Amino acid sequence: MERLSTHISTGGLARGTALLYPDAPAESFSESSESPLETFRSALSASSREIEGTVAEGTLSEILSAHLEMLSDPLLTETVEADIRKGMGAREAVEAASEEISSMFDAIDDEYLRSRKDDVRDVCRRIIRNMASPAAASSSDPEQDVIVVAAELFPSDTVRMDFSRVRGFVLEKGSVTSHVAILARGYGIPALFGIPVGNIHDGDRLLVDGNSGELIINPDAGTESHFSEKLTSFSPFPEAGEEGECPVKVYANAGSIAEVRKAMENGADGVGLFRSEFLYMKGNALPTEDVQYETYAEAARLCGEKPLTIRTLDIGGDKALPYLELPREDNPFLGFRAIRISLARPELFRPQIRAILRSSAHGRIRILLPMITRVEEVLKAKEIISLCMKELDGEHLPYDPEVEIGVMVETPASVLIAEELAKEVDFFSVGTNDLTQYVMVADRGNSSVASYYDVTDPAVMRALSIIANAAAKEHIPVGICGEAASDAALQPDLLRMGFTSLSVPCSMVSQTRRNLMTIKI
Amino acid sequence: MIREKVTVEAPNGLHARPVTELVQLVKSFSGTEITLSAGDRTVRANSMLSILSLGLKQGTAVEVAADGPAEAEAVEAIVSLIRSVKD
Repeated sequence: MERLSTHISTGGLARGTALLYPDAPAESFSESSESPLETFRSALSASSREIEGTVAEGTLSEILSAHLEMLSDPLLTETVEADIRKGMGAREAVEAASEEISSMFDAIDDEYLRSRKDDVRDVCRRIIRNMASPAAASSSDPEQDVIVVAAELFPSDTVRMDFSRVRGFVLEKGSVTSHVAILARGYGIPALFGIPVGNIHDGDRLLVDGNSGELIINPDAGTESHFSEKLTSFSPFPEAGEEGECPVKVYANAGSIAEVRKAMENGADGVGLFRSEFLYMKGNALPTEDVQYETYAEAARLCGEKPLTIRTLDIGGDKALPYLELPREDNPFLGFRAIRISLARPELFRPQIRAILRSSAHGRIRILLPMITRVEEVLKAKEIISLCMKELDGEHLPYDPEVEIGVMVETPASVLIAEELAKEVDFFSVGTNDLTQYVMVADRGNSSVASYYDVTDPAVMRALSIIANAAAKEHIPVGICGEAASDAALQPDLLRMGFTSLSVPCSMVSQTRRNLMTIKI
Repeated sequence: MIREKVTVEAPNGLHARPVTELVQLVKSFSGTEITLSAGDRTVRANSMLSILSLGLKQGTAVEVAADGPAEAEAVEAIVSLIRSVKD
């Protein structure tokens, strides 16, 4: 038994078996009824695209070029395809080939060249990871609860995970404002950061206490049973709040249909932020208008009368799409991202807008434009939206002509022109995470400037107040959808400033409502 | 069919990067069958994994063989690539 602790964690309790990433469970997609040969081939091309989409320099870039070459190696493809023809499943065949080819390296009497077998294993692991096949999920016990252990996780890693099995995260890098933390809170599962993961092995029994920041590896029976007692009395999702007076709307942030459903179960007043990226990150190509439409329409139906705020594609920065070629940038957070990409690439933006508009026939849709820095961007986006409306008219497809259009206020520029923006839109939504990062010039993933990344800093609070005043002047609603919204200590200030809604992770809807009901302004 | 022997001089042997380059070179001679032999093993030169598995460390003698329309150029280009690896 070993105990480790950290002061960086998100709340909750969990126990399960350690699963070292990148072997995290792959989500089973419905379209994976394809044959093992197709599964293998599409995983191969997905892996190539993934490598091609990875920005790297120096040694890493050399390694990746070698891996790319290995993916098209006839020895690998022929070995795997021969095994598949003999009746093996795609995953088993790649595992067998990985074993067979890497064992060919054992006879090499040069240590450095022999260790290239690790590259073979790595490439095969990547292929397996890109197989979203049911075989992958069923090859290990689907009932088993897992704690994902990794040095670092990126948004593209987590979208592949099957969250019906993941009970918690243990990570070396990251902070409570990272994407993993936000995701973990959304699912009501704990995440620990700053834990050295080198000594944790696949299959270790882990007890994770996100409330105290403690990790117990391979607990003894007494510790385990004590933990079980804590676990049974702890509920990550508080009961839906009782009826009462709540001064502002409590919306939920959602990044999937499952989260929209959870938000409604937890009594949210609507979805304040529906992140559309998951649609784009799941597959290996851009989602079609129809695929997007079906997802948005399903979310809209789940919300019923309540608003569903769909944020248009917010990629760039730390969020890349493997199949979408974007120029390499030295400063991605100051670069080509979000609305800038959408406006420059109408072939990306128009299908999304059309899909959102079509879904507005099924509920109350609000369109949210991310990373605005200029009024012209809003005007251009509105022009595209009205063009799409005209197209739909011509095609006799129904939509809501009164669909609301709002902007994310998350850049210093948008704060400074908030009054002008407020005249052009129906609502504001403040992304406090990016806003804090840009106002304070502090990368939220960089622990050495963590003290600067502080939403309560006078500069950020001043920015929030400017935004709320600009919205009040034009009588438009203004909400917060960043981490600050669920911070109980901040909520009284936000209410006093005049914010009209708080959008919080699904799991925190009831808790937030209860907090708000006790606040006296 | 043309054959030529060359000795690996690179201190780290033919590691991943030069082998990547070698395989890409081999692929540019499509239609010509190219193999590498070391010790008692002969492998197809269009397979990076096969070449890496030969463990071509410094001092290893490699035989490059080519058969096809561009056999002469292919052998010459590959031998000179192997000689040019210095790291």
